Amino acid sequence: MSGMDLLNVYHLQIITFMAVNSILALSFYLPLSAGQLSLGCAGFMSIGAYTAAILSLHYGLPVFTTIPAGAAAAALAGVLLGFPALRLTGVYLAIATLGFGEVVRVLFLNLKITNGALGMPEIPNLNDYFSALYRSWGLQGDLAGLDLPRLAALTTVVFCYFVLAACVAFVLRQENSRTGRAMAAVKADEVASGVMGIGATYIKMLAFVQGAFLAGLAGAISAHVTNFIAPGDFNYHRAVNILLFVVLGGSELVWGGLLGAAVLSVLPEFLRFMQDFRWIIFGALLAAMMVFRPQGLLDRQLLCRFSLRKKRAMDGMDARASSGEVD
Amino acid sequence: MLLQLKGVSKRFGGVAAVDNLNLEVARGEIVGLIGPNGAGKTTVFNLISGLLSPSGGDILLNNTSLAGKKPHRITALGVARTFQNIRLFNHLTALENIMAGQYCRTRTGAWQAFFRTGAFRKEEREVRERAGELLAMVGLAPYRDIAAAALPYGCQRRLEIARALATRPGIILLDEPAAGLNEAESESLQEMIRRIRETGIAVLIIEHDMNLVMSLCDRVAVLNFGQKIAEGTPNRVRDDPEVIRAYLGREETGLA
Ligand SMILES: Nc1ncnc2c1ncn2[C@@H]1O[C@H](COP(=O)(O)OP(=O)(O)OP(=O)(O)O)[C@@H](O)[C@H]1O
Ligand SMILES: [Mg+2]
Repeated sequence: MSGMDLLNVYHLQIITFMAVNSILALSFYLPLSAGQLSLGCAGFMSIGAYTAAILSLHYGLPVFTTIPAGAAAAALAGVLLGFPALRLTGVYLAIATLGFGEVVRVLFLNLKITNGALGMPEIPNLNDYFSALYRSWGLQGDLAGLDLPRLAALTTVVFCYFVLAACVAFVLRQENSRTGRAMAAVKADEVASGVMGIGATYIKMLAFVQGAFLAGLAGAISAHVTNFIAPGDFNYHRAVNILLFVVLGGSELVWGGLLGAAVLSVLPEFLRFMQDFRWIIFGALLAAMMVFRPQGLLDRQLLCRFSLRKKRAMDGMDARASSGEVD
Repeated sequence: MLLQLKGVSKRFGGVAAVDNLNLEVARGEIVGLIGPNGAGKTTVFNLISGLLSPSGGDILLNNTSLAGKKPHRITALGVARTFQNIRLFNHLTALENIMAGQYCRTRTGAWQAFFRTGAFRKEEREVRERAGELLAMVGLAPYRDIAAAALPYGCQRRLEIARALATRPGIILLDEPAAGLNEAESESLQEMIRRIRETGIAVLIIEHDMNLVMSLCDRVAVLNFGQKIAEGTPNRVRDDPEVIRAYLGREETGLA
């Protein structure tokens, strides 16, 4: 059946990477929502990935401790980098954070514990972890027509999307809170925000470290999804790719980055039949996008149009019910 | 005394933008700060709000020195201000601008927001209500959900005042709030400033519109080339020969 074909492990892995990329988009979006263009995501991602890989391979820690540890390690690096880097703004901050990513990459390239350029193979895999878990529950054969590997792969997908959903919820709820308003204020006018009682240094550090945490989280998960990591996975191509998620999807809104991550995760796969030509098409699409819709696929106006339609419908209902006011 | 400037100076390179300035503002008082263009009035505001640090002298709020304090700390201590060239949070709505202004008077963090704790919901409700009240007070209730940048000029001026009031100040510094307003708007601005004073907030106001200064201020200080050349009731200051000379020396300012 075609339904079953869609659930092959290859497709499931692409769907998993969509979730990982979405978390990366959030990690780029967060500092940006406080006015900082940080390209350190790839660096933080590699810190998360290597921390998780080393802890599980060399110290035998279980996956559910190495993933938070990877995120925490990246957040710590974010604090250390933040102190000097957050004095910079705009393109200078972008260059400094990109430089940080390169420093981290070269470090991992030359360290013994990271196995240098050869990378780290045989990282314990989430699929295997879930398979073992199900087996320990006495599950052997099929469940609802799914064999054990597929069931495990499906569980990995569910797990990743659960983590993503938690991250999205956090970012959205923070945005509609005191902290989020402070971030928006700092982005809009740092001087005015200070005079309005907002400590911009703290707010920028918070957004930066949250971004680092999410990038580390994405890195740790990806290490446990791919089995193998090498320094080259986290070069500046990766940093630019994460930037593209948000720029293409729309940098004003959380949903923009998520959409961009989804599109850019799937598009190369759809274009696969064109082989090497696909990168030409891909590049042309991006260029066209920047010409015709520089603000990205999603922007506030588009969202307003949607919510206006919803509001009008609600107003209509309210009028009929003739009860009080909306909101 | 609420606010005291004691021999405050600010030099930019060789230029003394503010020179040995003594100035006091008492609780609930409306004090005018006037002077020709470039006299150093805005610089005084920048010094009080901590955007600049004095080259000499000391600034006291409730008898504690503001020396070396960051702007957001000074705001938390009770100093709010507006800007000569309006600085709103442009893409935030009118309501959100005022809500952002309440940052230093609220406590809940991102985790409480994530779990929607009782404390978070309560504080959020209060912040929203207070913002609504302030919007209504400056007559902007109908513009609640409009982005600040899209508001008419006069509304932006009033929104900036409401945002400053959201920080619950003891004193508010208004930098040319009537600039660019028509007569009716200026009239309602005066009304608003009187209401602000009635709530116990002191007002230090820079203004070129002499009619407004004369009818509104309890006391006026005049700056020229960074120095205070006169201080007293509006009428006394208006008739001061040195003040008249300072203004006549520079044609571009109209002393009515
Ligand atoms: N950051 C700065 N760096 C250098 N010089 C400055 C700075 N800020 C102000 N000045 C100078 O200090 C002097 C006083 O400027 P200030 O803006 O305080 O005047 P003002 O009284 O507010 O004038 P206006 O009525 O035009 O607003 C001016 O000569 C100005 O050029
Ligand atoms: Mg000025």
